[in-house]
Amino acid sequence: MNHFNEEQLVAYFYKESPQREHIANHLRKCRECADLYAALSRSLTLIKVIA
Amino acid sequence: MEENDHSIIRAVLSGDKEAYGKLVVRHSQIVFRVAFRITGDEADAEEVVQEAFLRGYQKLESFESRSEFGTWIYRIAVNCALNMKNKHKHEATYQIAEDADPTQQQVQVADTAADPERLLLSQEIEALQARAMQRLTATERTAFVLRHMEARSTEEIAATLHIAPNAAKQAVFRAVQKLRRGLAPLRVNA
Repeated sequence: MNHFNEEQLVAYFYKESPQREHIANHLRKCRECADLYAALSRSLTLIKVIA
Repeated sequence: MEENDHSIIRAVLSGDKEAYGKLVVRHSQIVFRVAFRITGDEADAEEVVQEAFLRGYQKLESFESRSEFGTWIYRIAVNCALNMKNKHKHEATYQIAEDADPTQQQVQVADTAADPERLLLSQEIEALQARAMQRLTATERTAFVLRHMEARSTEEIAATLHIAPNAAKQAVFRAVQKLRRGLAPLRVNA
């Protein structure tokens, strides 16, 4: 199974990945990538929007 | 019926200089918002707003009528803000010293009714975030603000910063990496 790197997951987070469906399917099956994405997503969600 | 931007621009170019004020009123809020997010300083953001609208006025003849004035002035403002950040490169606008009291550095406190523990965490996050943002280059910060806070696409960021889309994508990615490192102390199993 080919894993996704942080850069690809950042693009996925911002909904700019050309492989969106593929990554979504992969994240459902791959614990390693799912954990990486969860950590990335948590960090980015923490960064608050300055209103 | 409300005048659209293009008819106001035609009026300004025909000699009604006062009409430009309508464009300023209509677009200054969004311009201020992005300027503040990039500069992190209210006074600087206000200066950027003035500078952007002044440049817009001076260049109005070159404005292409097929474009949107809002997008055009927004891009001018982002570049003004970027120039401002570069100018202040060594004098951070809301720099936080390692030993500074984070409560003195808050740009905003969201919820004063929150419980003390939550408020403390919120302050800690803001302090770490502000410190991490200071470590970004002006381009990284601007690209990140446009991507994360303004929800602009890579293509829009590239066009705004006059860089290639791949360079814009890389700038956002580098910013994310640096910010994640800066927020690492908070990395818990939340």
